[in-house]
Amino acid sequence: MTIYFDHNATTPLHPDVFEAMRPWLMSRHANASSLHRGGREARAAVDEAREQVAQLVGAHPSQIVFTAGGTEADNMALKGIAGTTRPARLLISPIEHPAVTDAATALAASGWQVDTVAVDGDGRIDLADLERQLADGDVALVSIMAANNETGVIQDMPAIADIVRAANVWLHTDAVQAVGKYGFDFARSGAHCASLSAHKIQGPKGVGALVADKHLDMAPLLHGGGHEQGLRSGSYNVAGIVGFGAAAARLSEYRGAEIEHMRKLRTMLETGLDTMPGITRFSTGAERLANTCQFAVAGYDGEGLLMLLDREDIAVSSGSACAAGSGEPSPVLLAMGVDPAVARGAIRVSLGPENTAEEVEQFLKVLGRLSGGAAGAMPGSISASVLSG
Amino acid sequence: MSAGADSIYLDHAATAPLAPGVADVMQRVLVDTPANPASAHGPGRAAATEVDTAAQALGGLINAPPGSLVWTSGATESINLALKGGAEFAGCGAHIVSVATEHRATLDALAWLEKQGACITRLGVDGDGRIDMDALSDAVDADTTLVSVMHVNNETGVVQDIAAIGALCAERGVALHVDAAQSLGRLTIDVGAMNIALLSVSAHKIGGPKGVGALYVRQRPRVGLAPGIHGGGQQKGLRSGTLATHQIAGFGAAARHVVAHRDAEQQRLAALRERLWQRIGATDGALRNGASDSVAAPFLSVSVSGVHGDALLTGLTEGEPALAVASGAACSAAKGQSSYVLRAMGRSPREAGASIRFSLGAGNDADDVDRAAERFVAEVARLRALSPAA
Repeated sequence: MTIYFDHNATTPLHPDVFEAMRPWLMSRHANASSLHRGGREARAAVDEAREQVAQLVGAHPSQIVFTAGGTEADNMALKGIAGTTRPARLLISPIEHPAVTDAATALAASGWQVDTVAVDGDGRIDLADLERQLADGDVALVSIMAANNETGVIQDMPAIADIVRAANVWLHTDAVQAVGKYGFDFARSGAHCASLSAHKIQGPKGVGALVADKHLDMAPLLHGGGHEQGLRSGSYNVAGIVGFGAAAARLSEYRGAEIEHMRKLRTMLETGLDTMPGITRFSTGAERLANTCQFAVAGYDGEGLLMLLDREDIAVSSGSACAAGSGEPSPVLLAMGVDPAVARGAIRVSLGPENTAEEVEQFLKVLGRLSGGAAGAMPGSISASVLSG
Repeated sequence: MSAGADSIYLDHAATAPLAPGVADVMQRVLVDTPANPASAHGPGRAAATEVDTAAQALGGLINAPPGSLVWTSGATESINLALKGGAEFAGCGAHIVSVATEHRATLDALAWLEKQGACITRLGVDGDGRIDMDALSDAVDADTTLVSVMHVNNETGVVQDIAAIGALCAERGVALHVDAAQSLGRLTIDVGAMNIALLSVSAHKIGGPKGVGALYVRQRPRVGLAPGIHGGGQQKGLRSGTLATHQIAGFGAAARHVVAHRDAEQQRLAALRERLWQRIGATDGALRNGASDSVAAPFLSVSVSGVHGDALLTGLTEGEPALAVASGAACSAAKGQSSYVLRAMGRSPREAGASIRFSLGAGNDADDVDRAAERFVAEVARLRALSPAA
């Protein structure tokens, strides 16, 4: 049985969520835009899910725009807001998910000036730098993620929002990681819009949402048909949306207990790691998601270690899943000032509610054996290509 | 399959129930391969294998190499990527030739491109909904960057001659995009033989799940596209975002089902469709939209004079048995607009307003069709009796 420690990449679907989806897959198939009875029932199910998601994140149902996932929501926020105004300045952090950084790069190609706000050594936004950058003027939009997918660092969104709102600028936050493992609350965050994803909270892949303040003027990313008040066209993924709603409703009830469980396991993990030689843990001085621990093992390259652990049936990540196989050190760690040689050795353990203490023990045992090997018999960097030979 | 004991589902152009076996495949993938297909570890590779298997199946259905498929959230996204991504890649001066009766996804994307400075030519159609090949030939000039034509119309089922259009585009050196959302699973599609450069398809119209589609992108000669959704660089950077493994596997399973059953099923539906028309065609003032020999098998679009369109649709969709039918596209239905497709075919706004689209599918049989025809005839008579001067 694989030990799955990669919940920031994706989470297994919760069985209760599948049960909620089942009728919408098996027998209730109508198009939610159809006027006949089946269509109206499907629309009602979509709207119930809208309420469940809104309730989980402290938003009004009318603020939820369903998308195909977090990446689309990030693209929609940045390009949608940019699409209603002349090119100006966009501020992002250097630790954003590629969905934000690459959307920003696309905007730069159409005349936007993209500037980055500094982070400290733990990966927290430098609020003074944010203020300075806003004071330089002409900023139309700021995008800062609520919690980082690699380090798990949680930003002080209310403080960031106070600064951004004082400058009369729109604020977007990628909250994809901050919902299941932290109690992200849209209203409290102070952001004007936030990206969410179902598959990070034990819901299905292929569905997400942008939570958007009604005052926000946005151009659609996808045209045609005029669904979601014209903001997002395309037939509703009814089963997926119902699954998102069910995952949200579940989380509203169990999140507190799940976070406590994951935090306990992580404490156990980190206590074990701290007894091993050659381990560098990252972002230890910042508030982090309860399930995330990123660290480097001296003498190893992250991808090589990932492969070795994979052979032991342990699934971890060397960064974000999207960048898997690139071999480059994490831009997130580099932005925090981590030495590239150390950053190259980083792996990320991200726990989930179904993980157990036995799995953490087993992981520590295997890692102890491997890192002992690194210090002794196999010094130096081990690359994935050598290992696969 | 009916949407309930007392209703008959005749709206397969809006969406179709899952084909046999598809839900099982989706459940298996959801439970057994929950990892992110982009992850480098074993569970990630297992998920990626499911995606590859689905690409083989869908590629086989349209004669495309699996590596030429880009997974999207549906045909709307595919069409947006083909049109806007193609125009962005072409740079300023894009000229796109399309048709007035295209799906909203195409028309709205083109209207947006026009606002950005692109030049758009919209061809009209004849009374049967078909484009004129000479008009197409005239519209394509040296600056044309793309021709975009839907294979089967979503409201009428009218089929355009894609092979002939593809041949013309090949001869003139222009890329052809085909919206095949309504033709996949119903007609033969061969992207090579038909000279198709880009093809948009949707899973939920062929018995796959909602929320997943694909865009075929010809590799040789390569069609240039700018991505519509940026991010982690999945799918060669053309479409970022975590792949929805179970959705894609469901699409693959539906494609395999189509390969095994399509031709016999379409013959069966064509016979049922004629049976339906035989039973309602004698209704005074009933007109069939599109010539029967150029309409895809499941479709019957009927305009009827002397009744109010909304009243007719409401009458049919309520009552016993309730008919799940449409007055046009599901997306336009939600906004209560009369059919621009039928108006382009020369129907008066009034006729276009009182139009019903029947679209048949796997669960329908002769009994469904007979009961639906009976309800239609009775409902038209009832409404005329209520308001004889309408």
